Amino acid sequence: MPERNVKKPEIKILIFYSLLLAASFIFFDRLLFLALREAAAHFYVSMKTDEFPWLEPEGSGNGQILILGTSRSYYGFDDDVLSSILKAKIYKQAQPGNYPQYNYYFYQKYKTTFPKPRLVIYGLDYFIFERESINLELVRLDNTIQLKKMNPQGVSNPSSPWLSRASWLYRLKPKTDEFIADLWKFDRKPEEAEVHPAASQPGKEKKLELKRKSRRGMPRGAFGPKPRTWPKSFYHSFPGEEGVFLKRLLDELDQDGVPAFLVFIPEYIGSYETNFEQEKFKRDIRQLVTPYEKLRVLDFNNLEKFDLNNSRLFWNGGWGVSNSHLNDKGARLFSRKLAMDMKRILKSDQPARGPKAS
Amino acid sequence: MTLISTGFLAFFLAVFLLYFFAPRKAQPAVLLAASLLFYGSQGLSFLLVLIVEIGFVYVCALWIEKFTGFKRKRILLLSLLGVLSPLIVFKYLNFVIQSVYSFFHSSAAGKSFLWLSLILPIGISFYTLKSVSYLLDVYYSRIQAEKNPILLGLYISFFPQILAGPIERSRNFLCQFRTDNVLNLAHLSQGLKLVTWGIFKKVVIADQLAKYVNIIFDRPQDFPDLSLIFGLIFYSFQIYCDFSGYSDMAIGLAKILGIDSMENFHYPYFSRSVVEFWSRWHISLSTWLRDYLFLPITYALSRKIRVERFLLVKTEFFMYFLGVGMTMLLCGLWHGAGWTFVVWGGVHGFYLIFSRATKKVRYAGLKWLHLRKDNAFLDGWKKLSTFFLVTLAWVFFRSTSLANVWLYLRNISFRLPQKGVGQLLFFSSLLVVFLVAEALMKNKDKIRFLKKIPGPIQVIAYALFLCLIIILAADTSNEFLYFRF
Repeated sequence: MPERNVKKPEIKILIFYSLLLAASFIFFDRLLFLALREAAAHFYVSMKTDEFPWLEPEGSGNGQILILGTSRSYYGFDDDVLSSILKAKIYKQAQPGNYPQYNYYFYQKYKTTFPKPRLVIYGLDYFIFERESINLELVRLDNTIQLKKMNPQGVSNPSSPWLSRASWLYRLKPKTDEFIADLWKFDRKPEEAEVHPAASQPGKEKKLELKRKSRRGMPRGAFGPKPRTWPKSFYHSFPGEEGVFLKRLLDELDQDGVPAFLVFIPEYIGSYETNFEQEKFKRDIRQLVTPYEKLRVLDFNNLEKFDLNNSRLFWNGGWGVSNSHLNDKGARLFSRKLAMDMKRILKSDQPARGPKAS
Repeated sequence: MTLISTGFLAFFLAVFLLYFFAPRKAQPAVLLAASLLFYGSQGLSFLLVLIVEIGFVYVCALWIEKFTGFKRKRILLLSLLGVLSPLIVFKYLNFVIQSVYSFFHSSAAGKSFLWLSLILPIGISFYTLKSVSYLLDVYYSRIQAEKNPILLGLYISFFPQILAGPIERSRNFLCQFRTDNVLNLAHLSQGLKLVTWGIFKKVVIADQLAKYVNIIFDRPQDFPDLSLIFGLIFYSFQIYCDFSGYSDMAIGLAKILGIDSMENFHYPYFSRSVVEFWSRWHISLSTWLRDYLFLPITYALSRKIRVERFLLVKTEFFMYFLGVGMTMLLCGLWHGAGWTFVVWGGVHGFYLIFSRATKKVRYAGLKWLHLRKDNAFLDGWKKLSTFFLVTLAWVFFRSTSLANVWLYLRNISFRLPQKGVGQLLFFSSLLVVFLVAEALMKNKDKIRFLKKIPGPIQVIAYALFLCLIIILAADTSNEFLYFRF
């Protein structure tokens, strides 16, 4: 037994205070969580959203091709080239932070306004299952999404599962933090408060400006020589944060009978070698696409299909940099190759069976 | 494993139970084992350096005590060299190489060709000072050399203090293990309160402010308005709450184990002068510098210079000037191997010297204005001006280079910020609430109603406080700032 100068009445007081502390903590924990959730509901539901559609389709032709993805898709797919070869209009809903959850909900919204797309092109990123879509962008699509996330049932905070059992506030800390972060984003953009605080999809004029910026390729040697060692980036496998939404999107495309191409966009060789678990990534995607007849995988992120060594085709990337984007020249070259491949595949007599990767 | 992690919570619970269930004679060994295990979790190579240092200090102290005269002095010098060598090599060697290289190659930027890949063992700056103070205390016969290696090892490696202090003195620490140490509810309660307050300061105040501060300091040229001033003020509180928060946790954890540690921060931003500031800020370091650097330097100078005036100034002032100057420059260097830290120390040295040089003039001015020392307006003015001076010096501490310091200072303006006003107001409100809480704690003995709050109400308030900590805790994983030293 430990030596102690603790008397029996003190032990009783200790037990009483411990129980009181536990009870008070549980009470305030639930109360404050519900208050936060109420505040979040009011904040998200009261957001005005601008009228859909947000963009004008580019090009001309028969039907519309929907392009989904992040900034790598935004910069990587050249609308004019794709439109002229595939003879269709291009609706490119691609911007930073458009991960699978966003793209899934966007497709629902797209279908409410436009007829079935002729084709869907989905640009893939190495970190597709690692990241989460931006909340304030999701709210544009459905302002109850964030609230659905703030449900304490069946959720656990990965940093401490046992603490999660005791406290709802701790369990949903990542989600409440997202809400507070959204409040600050709103605070930093007061001029857009009336329409939407994070309307980051550029309008036509801004798109041209962004294209002009990326037109100038990087000078030779801008990425620097290959170092002896560099930080590597691990691949977060399916389902990760939003993989289930990619699965749902593929299910829906299949049900709608819409052909789709999931495309591995080229990365500069430095980034390609930084993202060293490429085979795991590609295997995951191919396995996902296997059950679907009209869905295919096209792999341009390899040295046989695209000159990943040519820094003049990229405007960023490098050893230790996981994210790499094609510049205008690179996008035109890539889009031409991609369009020719897609055209050939679509025209072929063979039944469209995935996962034929080219 | 840091003090704020669920792994540490489980670790501490196990240590707590083992410690109080262990026989009294085995208690130091339990704590030593726990301390080595804790430090080993930071890195096995770091643990090796620590164990070698403990062994070295143990042997050297015994030898110092054994001899007298010149031999004793020689052993002391060698032991100090041995103890300081790892710190100098790991922390300052690259800095010295780079500085010398840059001096001879003015166009050099970044690392020199001789850059060594050395990882600084965490906490080495702190436990080295403990070792040095112990050896010097033995040399000056202030304490006897510790014969029990377990106690000495525990003193140097005590896990709540090893990573970022307080830099405890051996005579205060070691004597606590010569008496019974039993579980005490009062200690438990005080310790828990301190730990909780420390966690609040770190994860709520410091880490939240860090979000704003990091953005401002990364690109000050993007904020040519009041944001830069707020950034500086917020950084003052970020570093205070980060460091004092850790100290509170360390002191609280030790208290739970029945061990008293020295106070490390005593409301420094309520200081009326920079001199007072240094008696309230990082007290364990400032007293260490006073006792083992400043006083020995001035004593050595006083033995060499025996005239009343030296180099046209009073000898007394000259000694103070040299003593404070050297001490503060070394203080800056201790904080980091970089010129910004040295300049920061130099700025504070200048403040102290200027304060001393103008003391008579300022008192004469007060007399002329018929202002009493305890005048409330004067008191407020002193506190604000001291805060202003200390905050201004933090620019050097926080900036990554002297060029960035200039970039920051020249972009300061008084224009109102156009964006992020809500966030600014939130952080300002948080700080105001924090300052009010600190003021209440500082004067808790004078405020009757605080003493009369019934126990159950305190417990309920504590539960609410814990919930607020969870909500307001920043979602980043900022390491404690002083771990970098």
